[in-house]
Amino acid sequence: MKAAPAALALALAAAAPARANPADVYGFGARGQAMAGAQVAGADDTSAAYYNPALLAASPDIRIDVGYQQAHPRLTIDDRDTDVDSSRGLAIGLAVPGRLLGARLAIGAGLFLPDQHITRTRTLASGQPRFQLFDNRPQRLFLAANVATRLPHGVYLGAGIAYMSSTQGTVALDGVVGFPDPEVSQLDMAIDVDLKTIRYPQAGVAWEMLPWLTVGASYRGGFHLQIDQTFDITGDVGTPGFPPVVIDGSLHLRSQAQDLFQPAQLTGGAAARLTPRWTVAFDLAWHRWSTFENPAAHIELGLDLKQFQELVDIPPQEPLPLPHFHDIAIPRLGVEHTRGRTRWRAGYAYEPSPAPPQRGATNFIDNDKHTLALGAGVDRAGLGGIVLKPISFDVALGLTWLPERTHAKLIAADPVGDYRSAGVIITGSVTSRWRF
Amino acid sequence: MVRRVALAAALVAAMAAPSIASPLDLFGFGGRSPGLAGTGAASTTDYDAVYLNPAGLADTPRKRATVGGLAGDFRLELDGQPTATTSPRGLAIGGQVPMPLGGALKDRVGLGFGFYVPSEAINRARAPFPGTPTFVLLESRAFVVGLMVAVGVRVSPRWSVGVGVNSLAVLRGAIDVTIDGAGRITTQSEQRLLTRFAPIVGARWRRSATTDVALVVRAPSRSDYDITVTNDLGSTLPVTLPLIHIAGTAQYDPLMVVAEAAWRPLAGLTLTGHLAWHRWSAFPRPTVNAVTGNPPQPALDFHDTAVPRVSVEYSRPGLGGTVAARAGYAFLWSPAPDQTRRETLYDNDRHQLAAGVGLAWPGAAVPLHLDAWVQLHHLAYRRYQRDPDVVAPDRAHSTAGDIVVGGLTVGVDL
Repeated sequence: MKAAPAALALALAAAAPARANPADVYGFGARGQAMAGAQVAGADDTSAAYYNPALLAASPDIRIDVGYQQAHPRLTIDDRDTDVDSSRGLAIGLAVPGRLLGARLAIGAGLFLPDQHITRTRTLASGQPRFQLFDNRPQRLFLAANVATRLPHGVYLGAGIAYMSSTQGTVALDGVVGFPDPEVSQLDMAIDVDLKTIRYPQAGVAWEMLPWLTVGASYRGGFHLQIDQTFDITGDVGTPGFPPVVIDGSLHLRSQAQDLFQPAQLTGGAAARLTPRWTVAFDLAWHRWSTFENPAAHIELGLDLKQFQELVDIPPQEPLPLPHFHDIAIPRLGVEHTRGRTRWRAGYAYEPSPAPPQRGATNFIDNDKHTLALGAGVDRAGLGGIVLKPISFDVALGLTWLPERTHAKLIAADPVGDYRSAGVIITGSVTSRWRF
Repeated sequence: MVRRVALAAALVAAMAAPSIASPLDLFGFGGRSPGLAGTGAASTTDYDAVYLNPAGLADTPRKRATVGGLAGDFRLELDGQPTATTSPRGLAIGGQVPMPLGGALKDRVGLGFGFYVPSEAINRARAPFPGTPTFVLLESRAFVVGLMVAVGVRVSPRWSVGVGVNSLAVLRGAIDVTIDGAGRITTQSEQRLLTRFAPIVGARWRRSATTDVALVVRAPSRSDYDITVTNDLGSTLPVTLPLIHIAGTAQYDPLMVVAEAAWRPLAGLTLTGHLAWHRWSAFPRPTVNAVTGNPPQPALDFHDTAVPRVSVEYSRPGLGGTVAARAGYAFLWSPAPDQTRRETLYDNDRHQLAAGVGLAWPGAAVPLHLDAWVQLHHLAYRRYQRDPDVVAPDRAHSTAGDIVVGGLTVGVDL
């Protein structure tokens, strides 16, 4: 089918970026990012608060990591940049080990705090084109608190809770809706809106199977934010100070949508110190995208304009089309080479798209993703006699390539038409790692 | 010096003013301070120092992780009838770490963190229509998350200082009601949660082996919301709706300046006096005008308050460890003026009685610290006589009530 360039251009003009956990999309901390996220058995710092909470108990030192990471996407539709927002913010981790009943116990937390905002929720019309996995997913806080312990025989267990919030509530307005000039409206407002707490679990296990080999697995719960907003307007219609045109009219609007979907994730992997200088890590992750629902708003609209009710023309609310996403498996491979106080890292990951080609009414665009990452780190022996243990400084640079994908519509009259999606994402991060 | 502090305290008290607590300030923070009616700025060395006085972290003795919770019952009355006020429940998590540094900072630095997470909502914006009676400083103030981190440094054998931050969320956004390409009515919205940080700065002076003095400044923290609602429904509605501006302040803690002295006249006995100034005169409106056609809103005229608190704690060996008994009292004047006009933002003076107990076995195989506390807040009866030129004379109201709240924390040394 032929594309509809004008309609597509209009849709893109209104358009919007897509959304996810920033650590899911770009990794957490410079070391993990440089190894393409292959860390479920190989995380050796506070990034374990994201990759595998069990590994927080692996070190006897208090650890504080502070870093900054950012990602600049250039995602295109028909070679036009969709202006998906960049993601940038502070990545902070804390791990405090101790001993209880002779066993090592550690508490830890991980935080990615975006520069621009804690979270952004965005609801778009079902047919509006957007890169579903990037538009808004990286635009949110990641906050997790964990506890971990080291058991005999080199076994580590860890679990924690990550937090998010969603908006639910009602805004009521009462008074006079201005007619014919709406700007003369006089409406009192009452508000009852909660930011509801959302908690999702994460847990992990790791086993030092051999002196040179560690295997691990982690689970991260899935969630989506429910955005439930109700507006009730009651009162008269007319000009304040004059007899009303409508007495005791009402409008009820309820919008229910979801955003920031995170699939449940199960990851298994191994980290092998093949030689004192070479470490290789491999992860295989399963992401349950099949539970992804159409995030567009479901609307309830009721209007009572009394004697003018016949002038109301509310279209029937057809059910939203299903997105038909499917589960995916993501392989990740990372290597680290140690030479003295310097470390060199590289990694590769392949993430197939969970989204089918957008041939119907929806335009939840996504592509396969190939990520290639490089990084380096250097250790410094303490600081001025005050910090007595080594400090590490790490950098990482990554490139994610989204090969071109064609979305051919089944219906010639599709308002958006055929299009091609593609893109690249450049990521970078720096981390300083402190041990006490 | 002590005389000057006492004189200043007496002057502030004489000018006295109302005061109200807020989420953390409403009940206190931690397992010990709530049993002492919110005192502890001059004596704490635990994770609750992140809120009470970050300087206390400089003396934190051991790594400790603490978890606990609180539950309460709001029995607020309007015209003698109970109101449907949601009672608070929440989870508290905290920890403190003496930093193993060397050189000039050896045994001088401590870190702490503390979270209070309500079980129902991490933030609540609730404001009824103007003229609907509401307990403006109590009904939703217990529903806000508290995320705090702090560091304390001992700068000399007598002086410690500390700094921390408390964070709250600010909501910004826009909602557009429109028709999508398939002819469905839909909403396109974008809402952003922003972070607003409120610094907490404290100092502690060890005047002698038996007396500590603390001074703490907590910057105001507020959680605003600002959402614009537009519509583009074309011919669907015969009436065009105005642009609606949903904006106001969901949560507000005023600037607080706290002075406190802790005196240990006998081994195990600590007496504490505390005076805080709360800048409630900057209290913002819970809601602003939703549409431009509304007449301007009058000023709220809240005023600053001073809060005196006293407490006693006695600890002694027992039960194989240490047992502490605690009690405290605070008088919280209301910052709300008489509501004679259309506004019905009600508030009462409150008497706060607190009691608590602490058990600690720091040398045991499992070095536990248990703290339990309970508070009773009694709202003094208050009658609001409305201006008959503005509101019908029979629209007078009265408010009173009680709040009962308790909590338990369990800490373990690591």
